[in-house]
Amino acid sequence: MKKILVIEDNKQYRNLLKIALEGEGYEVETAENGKIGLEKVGIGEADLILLDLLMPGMDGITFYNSLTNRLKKHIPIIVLTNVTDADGYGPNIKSVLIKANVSIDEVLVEVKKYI
Amino acid sequence: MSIQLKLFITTATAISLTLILGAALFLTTQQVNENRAKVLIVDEIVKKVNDLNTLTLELILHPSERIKEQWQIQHQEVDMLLSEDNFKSEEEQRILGKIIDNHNSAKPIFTDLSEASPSSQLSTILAGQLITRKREIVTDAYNLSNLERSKSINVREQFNLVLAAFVIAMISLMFSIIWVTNVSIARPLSKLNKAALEIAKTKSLTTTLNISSNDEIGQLAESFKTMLASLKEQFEKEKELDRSKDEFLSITAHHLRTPLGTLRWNLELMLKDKFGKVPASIKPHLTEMSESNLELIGLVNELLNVSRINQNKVIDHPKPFVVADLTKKVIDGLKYIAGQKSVSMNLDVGNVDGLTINLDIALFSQVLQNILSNAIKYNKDSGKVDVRLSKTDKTLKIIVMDTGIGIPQRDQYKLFTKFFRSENAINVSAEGTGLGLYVVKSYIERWGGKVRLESQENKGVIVEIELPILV
Repeated sequence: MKKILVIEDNKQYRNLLKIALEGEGYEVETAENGKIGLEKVGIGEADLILLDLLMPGMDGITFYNSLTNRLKKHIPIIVLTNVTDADGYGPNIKSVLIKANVSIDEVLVEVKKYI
Repeated sequence: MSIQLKLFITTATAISLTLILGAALFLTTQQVNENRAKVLIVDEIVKKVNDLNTLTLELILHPSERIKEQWQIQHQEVDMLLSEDNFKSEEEQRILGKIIDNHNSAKPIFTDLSEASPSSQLSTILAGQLITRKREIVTDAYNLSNLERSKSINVREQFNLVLAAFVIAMISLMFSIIWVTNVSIARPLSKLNKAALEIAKTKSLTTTLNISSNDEIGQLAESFKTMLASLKEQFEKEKELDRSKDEFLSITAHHLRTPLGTLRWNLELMLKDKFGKVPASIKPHLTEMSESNLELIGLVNELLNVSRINQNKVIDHPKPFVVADLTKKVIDGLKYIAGQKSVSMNLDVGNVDGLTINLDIALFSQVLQNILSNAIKYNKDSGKVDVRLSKTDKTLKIIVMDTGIGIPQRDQYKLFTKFFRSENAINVSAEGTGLGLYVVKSYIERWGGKVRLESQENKGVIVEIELPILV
């Protein structure tokens, strides 16, 4: 079973994504910020990460930079944010979606492309 | 020194010089007239003295009482002429004195002559003496006359000198006026004008204006600079206010996205029965909620677009795409709302089929969406929207024509400004931000293109976009 790590500080988004992704048959791990996210990646590697950008504790960009330093293997990342113009974070970032501007179906379509 | 004072001084000098010249002219004329009168008197004396001589000769040849009387009368007339108080200078008095002496001495000689027996030797001698006296008088009279004439000439020459001095003074005065006008007025004014034009052109409130004079224009330049400084300060304040307003707008809009996004996904999952079976009677309401929510999200996005445009924070991510395909996709996305009004949409890709351009796909879609959703929203029921694409070597042209309510002439020039909505548009739909076309224009111009709009009320609108083809 493919494993997806959702790093998102907003509880509602986290739960909605978990429900939707599990409904598609993925195993879902969640983290409230980048720091917890890094720990969870360390425990059991994920096949794909859904990453929020603005989070307390450790934000998405710091998470991404630490992750690329730590892991040799590239994990595809989809950025889910409500901040506009997130761009140019590196090769692992497959796409950047504005949460309010996409339906959850569109998120699922995007996930399927990279897993 | 103030310009006013400079001008006052030059004007006063000009007036005084003119007065001096006038006085000189008056005095000269008077002098010349006086001299002319004197010359006339002298001429009269000469004439009468000559008459006396003639009478003397006649008396010798034909002595008679009548001639004697005539002589006496003539002599008295000369007396009168000589007694006139016209000659005042020393030279005049000297010559006049000689004339008077000769004249006075003539009278006793004439008395002797008239008493002497005619044709006697005595009478001949006396007549000779008399004529000699009179000749001397004539000579002196001529001298006096010449003196007066030469005096007239002198006066005229002096006047000519005064006139020449006046002309030279007036010319230098004119030059000084021109100089004052040029150096104190024209040149600094032109500098000031240049500075003002520069500000109008560059729209920057800084100036290199340098006028150091202490006069009115110097003061004007100083006031100009002070005014610029206070305007600049004011503008900075307003800009700062605008910046904080845009920042506030941007932050608020971003924050709004979070709850709107969760609402969207919640409703979506609910409608798909992901949280358990939703009763069929509830579903239409959920759909309505979902639609309202999408509208809200659209509104927030529009506000964000504007705040980005205002803050100069629009970032393009150009990627090559097929124009015709993307246009078709945007049209398809709007088919649902078009269908609600039975508006038919047609796309004519013309010679653009397969053309790829390199622009930000999201922003380009936004431009098309804004224009097309207007064309649908303000159309009549069962109306039409025609989209025509065409290209030349370097330009892509997109024309969108609708059969809607159109835009009144008086509103057309304001259409591309922020938050403006035409009155008839408000009548059709109270909702709308008036930001759509502002965003369109900002993006199109950002890409080096042009957008134009033509409309007749109740006939529809034609929007024409021209974009340089950047591959």
